[in-house]
Amino acid sequence: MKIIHFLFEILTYGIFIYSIALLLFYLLIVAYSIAEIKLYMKKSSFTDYDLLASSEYAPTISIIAPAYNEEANIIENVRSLLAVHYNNIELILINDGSNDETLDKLIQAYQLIKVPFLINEKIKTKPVRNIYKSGNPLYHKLIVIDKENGGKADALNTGINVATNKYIVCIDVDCVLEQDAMLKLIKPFLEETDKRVIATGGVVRIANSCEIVNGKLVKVHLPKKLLPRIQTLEYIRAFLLGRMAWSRMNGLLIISGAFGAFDREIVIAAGGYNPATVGEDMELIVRMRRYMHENKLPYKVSYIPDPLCWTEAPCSYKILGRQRNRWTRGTIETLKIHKKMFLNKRYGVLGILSYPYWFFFELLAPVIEFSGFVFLLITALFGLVSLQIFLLILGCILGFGFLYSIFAILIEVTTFNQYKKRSHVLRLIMTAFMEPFIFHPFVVWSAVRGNIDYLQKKKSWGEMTRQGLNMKN
Amino acid sequence: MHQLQFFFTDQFNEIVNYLHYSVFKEQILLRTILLVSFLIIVLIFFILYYLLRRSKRGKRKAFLQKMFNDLIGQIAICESEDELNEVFSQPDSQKIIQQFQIEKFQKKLLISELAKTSKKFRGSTLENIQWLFEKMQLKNELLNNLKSKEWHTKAKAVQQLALLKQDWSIKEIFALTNHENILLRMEAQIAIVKLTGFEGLNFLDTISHPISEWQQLRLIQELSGQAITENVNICQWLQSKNDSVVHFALRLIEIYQQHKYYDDAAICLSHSSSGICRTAVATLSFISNETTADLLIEHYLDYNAATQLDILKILQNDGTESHLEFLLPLLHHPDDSFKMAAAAAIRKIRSANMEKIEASVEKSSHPWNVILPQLKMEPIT
Repeated sequence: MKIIHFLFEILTYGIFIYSIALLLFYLLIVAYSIAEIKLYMKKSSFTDYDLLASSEYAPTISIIAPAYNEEANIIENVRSLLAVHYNNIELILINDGSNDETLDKLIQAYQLIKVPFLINEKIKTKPVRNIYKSGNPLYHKLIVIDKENGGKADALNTGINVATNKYIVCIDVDCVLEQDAMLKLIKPFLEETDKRVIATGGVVRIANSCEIVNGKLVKVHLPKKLLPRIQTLEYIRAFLLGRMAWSRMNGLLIISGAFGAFDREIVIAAGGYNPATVGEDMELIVRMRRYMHENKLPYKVSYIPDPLCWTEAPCSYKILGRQRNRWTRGTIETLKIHKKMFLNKRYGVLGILSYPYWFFFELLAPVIEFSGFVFLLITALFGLVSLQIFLLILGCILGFGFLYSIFAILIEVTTFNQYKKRSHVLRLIMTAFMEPFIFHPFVVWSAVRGNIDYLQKKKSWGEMTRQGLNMKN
Repeated sequence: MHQLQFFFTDQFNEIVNYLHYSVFKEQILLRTILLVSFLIIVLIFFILYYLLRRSKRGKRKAFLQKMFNDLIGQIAICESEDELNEVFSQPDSQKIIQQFQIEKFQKKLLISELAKTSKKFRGSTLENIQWLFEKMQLKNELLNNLKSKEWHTKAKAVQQLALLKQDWSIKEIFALTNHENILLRMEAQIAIVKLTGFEGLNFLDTISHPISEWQQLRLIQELSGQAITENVNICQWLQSKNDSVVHFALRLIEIYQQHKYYDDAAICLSHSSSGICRTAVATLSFISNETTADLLIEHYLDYNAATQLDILKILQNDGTESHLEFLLPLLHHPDDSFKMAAAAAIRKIRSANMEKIEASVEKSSHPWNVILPQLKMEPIT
């Protein structure tokens, strides 16, 4: 009997300690994000971003956008990227072996002609078929690379090889950028004097139901459909609270693959994107940070809380499930590749705090939550825990989740206030109330499936069919 | 079978007892949960209340801003002091002015609106705004803000004083140009340059903190449109122990085409910082003379790959036949970028040199099968 007692004790105390640690982390995140956002807002009030846009001395940047079977919107997407509010850019679009009309449409619309072009292959990639430049001086900033299909990471690596500038911006071609997005993203690289900024990320927001004209976001609306609306809230929480706090601790492990800027030299030194993982965005940041630590180079990964980039969120549970499944597998792969850093003092905050947090509270959380819920439910059903206590614990957890969500809404409203109408705020609050019942269980289940798929060695990206944004010309 | 069932029932009861009496201790657990729930509910209501109250404050702020912008608009277009006094003493204006003298928040808002407007105007319109600033006796408010212990209040005051062209504050602002707080000193540096032009750059003589690239861009932007004055201490800055000051001085030489500092800038080619060497190379290319290419080649081997590539690119414009001896061996450099840059420089010296390149490389093998057609496509300017 003693063994069973002991096991129960381990289980109950284990779950208890885990929950307390998780709650404490959430409180720490809240405290740190408040401090960081306050500082950022104060700093921003002195900043004139137009300076960079108009200055001929601003650094030149290479925007790298991979495209795979994007024939539906590729012309508008490229136009939108070329129209970005920053003078000194080159836009490198990589057609990653699309089997639709993506390349033909580009050739026709932008009067592309094949050119001989030396690629200094610093990172090994799949073969490049051809390189195109526009015969029209209007599009002189555009370079199109046609290559064999090798996945997003491989396409980005090709772009990095072709890029000539010190800073690169990697972006999903279907993203809609805020006009000043590039200016805000590049500024951190120019600000630091004692550390090298190796990467900068910005907030990604949900563009479903927003009005987009000529590739520019003209009016922000809260998504009409419930699923994207819940993701809007989820993104606000993750980007405004979580990432902001980690940025303050200089422990950020991920910059969204949808939009991030990097120091090209360090990306190449670290080996570029890893095509063997489905979480290439996170893996690159971890590897770059590891490279800097191992070479004892002072550095920083910076983060901007301004909404910079708008993307379409999945509208169906099927696509959402695939996305979350992939994110889970990407996290597992990244943490596995860099397991050496786990609780390793040599890597500072990264090894002592960031990595363990991601391992225990991002990777294991869905698994523990799922098993904990099943355990609590069984004990309640068998009368081992009174129904009253079961419901109270459940209510308490749900209440804390709701509190965390409305705190994120509060931060959003008091800072960037994208959803200005009172009805929008009320709908967000209602969404926060509904989320634990109709969204969270599905996300947890998708993550559990991700773990299972990882164990079964599934490597697929999963088809991400989009419904398309509300674009007008 | 019966025994086994008994065993499990026994085990089950043990667990139940254990859970009830040893771990959960229901009463304590219940109270803890209730307390936490209560805290959560209080916090939720507090946030909801704040969200609603904030929206009311926002509306009030927008109302006040509109009211004050109306007054600024009327004042800005006045053409004489009499007209200014007349507008100011109108009952409507007085009503607005009284509104703004009640609370600190309103004064803060008023100064902010004045500063914002003054950013957009020059000449008599700006003078009218300054007149209103003085008439409203807001100088003391900004002076108090300048003495504040909070860096952002101080920095805001510095920024607003400069925008409102308050020359009396130059001494106070100059003292902040080397302040410990980076954001405060950045604002002070910009403000001093805004108020005094190139003369304001004197803070570079003594500054002990590095000036970020962003701040250098801001300073350059602030100085744009102004002619460089004779009394700037560029020579002294080029010898500064603060690398960022040297870097900035080199950029000034480049932007303002200061050929007279050529020799001083050339000394920086041997600087201990590789970053400064690279900037010096770029600067010399902008104020180059017939000896620059030889000078850069002389230092070529001392530099890292990035600076070496910069030199090869400069030789595309400044190279002559005499540099072929240096360039031709680079066609066999292990890095393809060097091959490309050297070949481009050789071709740009004289298009007929293309034959020399073709004679020294294997035309049909990589990378020359790409480099040669690429070169042929590029125009020779």
